[in-house]
Amino acid sequence: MTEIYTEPSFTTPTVQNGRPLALSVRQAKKIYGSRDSLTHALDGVSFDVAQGEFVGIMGPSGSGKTTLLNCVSTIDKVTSGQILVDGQDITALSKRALAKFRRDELGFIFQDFNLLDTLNGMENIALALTIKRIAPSQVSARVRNIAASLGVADVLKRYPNQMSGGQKQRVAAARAIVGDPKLILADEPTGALDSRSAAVLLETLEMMNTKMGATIMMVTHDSYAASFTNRVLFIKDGRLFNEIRRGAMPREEFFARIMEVVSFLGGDVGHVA
Amino acid sequence: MLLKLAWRNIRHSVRDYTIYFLTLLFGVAVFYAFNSIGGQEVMFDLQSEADERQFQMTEQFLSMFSGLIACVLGFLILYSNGFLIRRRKREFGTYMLLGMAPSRVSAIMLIETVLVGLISLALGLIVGFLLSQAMSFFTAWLFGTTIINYQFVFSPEALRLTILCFAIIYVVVALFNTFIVNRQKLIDLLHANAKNQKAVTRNPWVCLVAFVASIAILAYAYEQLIESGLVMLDDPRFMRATIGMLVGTFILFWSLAGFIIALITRVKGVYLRGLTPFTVRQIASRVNTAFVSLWAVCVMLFFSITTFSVGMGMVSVFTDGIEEANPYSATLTAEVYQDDAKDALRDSSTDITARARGMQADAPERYENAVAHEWDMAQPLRDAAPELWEQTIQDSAQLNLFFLPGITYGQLISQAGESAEQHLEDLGESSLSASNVGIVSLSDMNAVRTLIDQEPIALADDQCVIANNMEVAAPLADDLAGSGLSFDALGHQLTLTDQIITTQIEDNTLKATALTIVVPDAVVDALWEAGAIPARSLLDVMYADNGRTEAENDEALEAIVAAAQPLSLGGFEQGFAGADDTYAHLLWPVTRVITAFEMIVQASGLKMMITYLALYIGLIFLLATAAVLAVQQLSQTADSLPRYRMLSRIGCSAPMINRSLLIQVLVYFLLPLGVAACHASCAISVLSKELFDALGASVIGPISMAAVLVAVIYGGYLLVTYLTSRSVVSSSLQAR
Repeated sequence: MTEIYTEPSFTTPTVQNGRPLALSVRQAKKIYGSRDSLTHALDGVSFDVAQGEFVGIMGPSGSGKTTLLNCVSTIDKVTSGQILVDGQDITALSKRALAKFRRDELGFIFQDFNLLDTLNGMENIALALTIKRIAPSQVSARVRNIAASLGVADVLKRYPNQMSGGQKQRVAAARAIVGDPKLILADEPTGALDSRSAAVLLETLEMMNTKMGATIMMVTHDSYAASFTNRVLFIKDGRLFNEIRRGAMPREEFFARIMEVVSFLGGDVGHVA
Repeated sequence: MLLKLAWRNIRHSVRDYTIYFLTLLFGVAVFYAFNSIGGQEVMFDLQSEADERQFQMTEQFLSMFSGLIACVLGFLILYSNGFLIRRRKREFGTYMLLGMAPSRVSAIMLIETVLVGLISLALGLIVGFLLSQAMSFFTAWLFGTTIINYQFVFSPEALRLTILCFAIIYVVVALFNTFIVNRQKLIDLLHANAKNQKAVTRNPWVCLVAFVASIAILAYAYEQLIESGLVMLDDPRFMRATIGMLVGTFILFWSLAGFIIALITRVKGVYLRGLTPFTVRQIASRVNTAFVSLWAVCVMLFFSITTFSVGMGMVSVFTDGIEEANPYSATLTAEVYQDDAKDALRDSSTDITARARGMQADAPERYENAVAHEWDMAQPLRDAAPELWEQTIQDSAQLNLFFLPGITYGQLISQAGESAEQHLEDLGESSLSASNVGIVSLSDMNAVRTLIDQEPIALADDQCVIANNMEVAAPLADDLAGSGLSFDALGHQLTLTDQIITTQIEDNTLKATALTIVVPDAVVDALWEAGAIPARSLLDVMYADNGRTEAENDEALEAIVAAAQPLSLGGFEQGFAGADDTYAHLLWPVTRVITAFEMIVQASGLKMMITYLALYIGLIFLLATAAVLAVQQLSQTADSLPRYRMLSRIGCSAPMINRSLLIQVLVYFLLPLGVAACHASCAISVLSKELFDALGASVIGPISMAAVLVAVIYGGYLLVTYLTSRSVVSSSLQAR
């Protein structure tokens, strides 16, 4: 794999609608392949996420939404362009600084839960705090608080294989938010859940956003899941294709709007290979 | 095509192969080195026949153990191979999915095994060859010889044996692999990676009870071991100790993780810190699932450490002070026949003439012979071969040991007080108490002392002095000498002085002068007059400085003895078998001959044999256990890769993950070692108290040698395991 590097050449705003930006992606490009066959996974994507926003990213498979998430979560690097989290350009950070950045600024929720099967619920949530070297005396109280808010207080002593899928994902959500991150990244969080658990989880995420003030960026292929957000960005072939805001719309109407765009995109969004 | 694929596979999974390869290489090297002892250059420098005999004995022992070792190595290689297979199930699944017949997949695996086997065999033989040269020097050092015309020697016999042994092992491995690949279902092969390990957790309260029980069982086992003193292996206490140790250790490993988890999680201040919860759970799940192999590893380590330390300790018991124990060129002994017991060390009869009458009745010719020479051993020998005697023997002195009828050790000890009685009990020689006191005349004692340039001792007519240099009886000798006791010896009232004479009165394997009382000549004269004969006569001789070697002088001495008592001459039909069968039934003047040269050669042979065995067994077992642990730890690391990836994703830095890995590896390696070291120190301290102290040997040296051996081999494996897991993890993190 070779990467072609070009200098970024523009300045970046740090405020949107009077609210400070949690995330700002500027002209992000990600190019795979050799000189003969280039693949533009991201072809100049730019958007902002203000603090306290709940943003959904949708797009058909191969559209580049996972690449985008990977780049924002610093697991992957953009070929060119900038990604600013809380005003800090993460494309310029060293590997060690990146680990620290992920630890301190980001929270993760994955499709396959990614809980450690050897640790119980309590320890899984606590991990996000202990690796930050937070005093052990505080850890336990903070974990219990979050667990109570997210309705998983009764599974803290259980191991992941003793929990239901919904419980696992809510424990993962608790782990993502317990460290007070600037940004929570959720990658198809409902992908492995039945519809009932999915609804509970989405309500939980909504609650985290509204009550706890968490900024969440969620990648999903599910229009229903996307309808819980404030704003949905559509990506196709590595470019930003459309954007719809919920505003004061009721959720049902927002869902209908999302479905329109999805069918316009070719009905492809709902199918993930 | 298959060959190319196989070769590429090996290069691809070189990291997985490292431990397997190292294990094979070390196995081959050590196997060759020890089997090639017979062919070593130093053999040719050791010209004496006695040395060669020792060499052959060592070799026989070693080849016997080689069988055992081959089994251990075979198991080890199978084990490491199983790890490789497990890692590559998915790869095989892909081959089969693409339509490759299972037999072809097996063939690839077979070719890989053979390739790796051949390379490791070749390299292992080279390393083994170098190792055997190093052992040559080591042997030479043990024997105190320097290698003059040193050159590299190759042992075809060892080569043949090594190749044969490893060929068999490889065939078994190949069969095993074929079996595994053929038996697997395609779906299982493909999903092998995704399969999650079930975390085993145990009820903390059950664990606590089991843990306490295991400690109690181990304490009981230790106590039984200390009580048994490890003197007799068929002691029921020893059996109980062994079973207790095995069972206790097993339960300990079974319960340990659950118990420790329950404990640590309750200490919040310690537990919820950094990656501690993760590390602790990783170790606990490892210990919980692998407690059986941890137990086996611990037992093997215990065996290895104990064998090595005790073996090396034995060496010093048998060989240290061997020169001190053999101050004379040779000692010729006449063990004089006794009716009620064939024992020259104990006599409880009150009849002064019993021994003389018994000898007269059973062996009249020998008795007449002795009387005719007035019991002077040197005289008939000199008469039989005057010229040879003149050439060979520079000086000689005879020492007659008698028993003093009516005065027993028990009587003296009860006079000496409670401490002496306690020491007698410690000695564990119950027959000593009833035995008459062994005595020797002052002039005999002074004669042998003069022979080895010691000052003559002086005694008043009413004094006697105790002679003892045997370590085990030293406390008793101290008590007796310090008591100032007195007794009546055939009308002579004697008082024991507070001195102890430590003269070695004969050549022997050990310092062997034991609680013998030196009395004024008048007492022994009275015994002679009353018709007593000596229980044992020792003729200590010093060879003349005649330009001949020690071995040649030994042969000359043998010729002198043979001239004095030819085989055709009738003699005792009952009696002692001496060191040399030639004299066994010809009891006067010579029952047996011990020469200093022979003793020293024997001791160094023994030293070599025990050293090699201890090294060999210690080394192989250590290697085996370390390799098993390494493979297990690596396979756990491989299985845990998704966990490390997750940790890295949520922001764990590489140093943090590496530290957790290091702790895991350290605990996993040091846990069985620690338990084994506890067991070993108990066993060794018991042995040291009961055996080595008594024989005056120290175990500090051997223990430090064992520690170094463990540190180098075990530590080396630990380091390689850590570095390998670290690189496996970091490369997996980078792949994302």
